[in-house]
Parts: sequence; structure tokens; C-alpha cells
Amino acid sequence: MSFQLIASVFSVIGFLWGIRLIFKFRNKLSYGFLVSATFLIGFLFLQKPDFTSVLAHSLGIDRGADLLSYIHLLVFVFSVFLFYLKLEKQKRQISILTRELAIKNSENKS
Amino acid sequence: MLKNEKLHFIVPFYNESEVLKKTIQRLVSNDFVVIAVDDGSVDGSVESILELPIVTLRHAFNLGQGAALNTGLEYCRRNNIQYAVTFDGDGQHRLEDALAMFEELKSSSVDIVLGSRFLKNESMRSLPAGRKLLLRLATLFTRVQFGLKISDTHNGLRLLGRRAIERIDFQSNRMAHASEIYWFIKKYNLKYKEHPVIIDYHEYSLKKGQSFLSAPGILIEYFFTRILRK
Repeated sequence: MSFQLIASVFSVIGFLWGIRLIFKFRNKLSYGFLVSATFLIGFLFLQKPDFTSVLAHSLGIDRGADLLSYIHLLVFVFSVFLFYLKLEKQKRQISILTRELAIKNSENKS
Repeated sequence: MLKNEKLHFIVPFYNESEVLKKTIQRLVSNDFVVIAVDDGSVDGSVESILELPIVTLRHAFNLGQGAALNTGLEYCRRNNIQYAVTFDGDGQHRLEDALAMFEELKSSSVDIVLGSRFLKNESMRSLPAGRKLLLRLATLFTRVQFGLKISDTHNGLRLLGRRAIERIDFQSNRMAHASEIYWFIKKYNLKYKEHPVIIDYHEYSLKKGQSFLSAPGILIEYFFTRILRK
């Protein structure tokens, strides 16, 4: 099996996962759209590799491979941002629980 | 005077066994109510103050100074406490400054009195140049962002009246709370006043304090606090 075939199958699975996210978390549509769009673009680039060069030239970038690197970097940075945001939300919830426990178990000797 | 009208000292601490007992004993011997908030210490700090007549709140693990202060403030909110002062556990704040701030709060109609190192030359003498520059930059950042006339952000000595206690609910767990407080002052239009204070810098507190390396982390924390509040 060629790399192109394996990566295409992976892209389709990723795209379907993104669609599932859209329907599952309707209050967070942006997550689902981001995931599905990323995998869809990946799938199109795999089917028409020359298209990356055409697109790159139209954006003033020399090579299609460079364009892919830039897109990859942007998606990576944005993913880290979303991940950090999620982590912060969980930290807040843990803080609230910790605070409740501290007050509930407070020792008043004053 | 009713108990909840007395001055309550919120003392957050994390691994301060060397100096904590002395700091708290000084407050207790002057008949103040102390709310000690242990932020997950593992060095025996809590054990060192167990016999003292104070309120002790314990975080199961370390969250950060902002979270510890908010735990103390939450305790004050629930117990209808009228006046609270935030007082570092490492012994660098002066009791006489807190008392002068208390008088200032009672005699004026402000909601919060903020300690400032930059209003008294004496306080600046023992402050290293690097720390001074860092504080100046942090103050400039806060002034530009909120348009408030303040001379010293990141000063842990603050005195809050009931209105400020009710409204200041820190979301930043760590040091970004020192900038976040100005967001609350601006949002709820809290009346504030600065009061000159002296911070006793000694080797111990300087070792544990913030440095230039802490600044990016504080900025990132503050940025995410603002995003999550929206």
C-alpha cells in the first residue's frame, strides 16, 4: 500500500470524526468545523499534490511543501492554544473543589 | 465590636515553615483574627502553627497564591466579615502599615486600600534594581490597560472593605491575580486609595519572590484568565 492510500484513509477517518464532533457538541461547532476542514484539506492535497503548488504560488509562497509546513505550524499552534484553554478550565474546576473542601474542613480556633 | 467587624488577616502560605509562626504570632498577640490559608505545604508549615488560636484553611495540594487568597476571601464572604487584609506569610509586611491602612479605610469612603512601595523612599532602599524595574514595568502595564492611577502593582498588602470582599473573586490561581484585582476595581467601580508601605526585604523573601523569568508566565496566565472570563 502506498503512503498516499494510507494517509487518504486516515484523512477520511479524521474528516468523519470532525463531522461527528459537529453533531455531538453543537455548542462548540468551531471545534468540529476545524477538525473536519483540516482533514478535508489534507485529503484534497493528497489526491491532487500539484494543487498545493498552485495554491502556494497564488499566496506568494515558492513551494507547495512550504505551504503545507506553514499550515501545519498554524494548526499545531492553534491546537496547543485550545488544549491549554481546556486545561485552564479544568484547573478552575479543581480549584473550586479544593476551595470548597478547605472551607468545609476549616479549623476555627480563634 | 462584633467579631466580624474586626480586622481579619488573610495569610496565604506555601512552605514557609522558617518564618510563618513568627509572622502569625505577631498578629495573634495583637488580638487580630488570622485566616491562614495553607496552599499545600509539605515542609511542616501547618504543623508549626497548629496550636495558635487562628482559622486554618488547607488546600489539598498546591494551587498558587491567587487561589489561596481567594479561598481566604471566600471564607470572609460566607462569614460576613467586614474588613480583610491580605498579608504575606513570609514576614515582609509590617503590621503597623496594615493598621494605618485600616484607619485610612475607616476614615475615608473607599472600598479598598492598596499598599504601595513607591510612595515611600525608605521602602525602595533594600529593593534590588532588577526587581524595581520589573515592578515598574508591571505597573506601567496595569496603568495602560485599566487607566487607573496606581504606583505599585504586585504589592501583596491590601485592605478590603466589605464591598471589595464581595466583588473580588480571583480567577487567576497564581501571580496574575495581582493584575486581575485592577480588573475588578475597574469593572465594579470600586473606590480605591494607595497607602505608602514598607516591605522588609530579606534574603529569605527575595529568594522566594518573583524574577524576570516569572513575567512571561504571569502574562500568559493573565491572558487566559481574560479569555475565560468572556
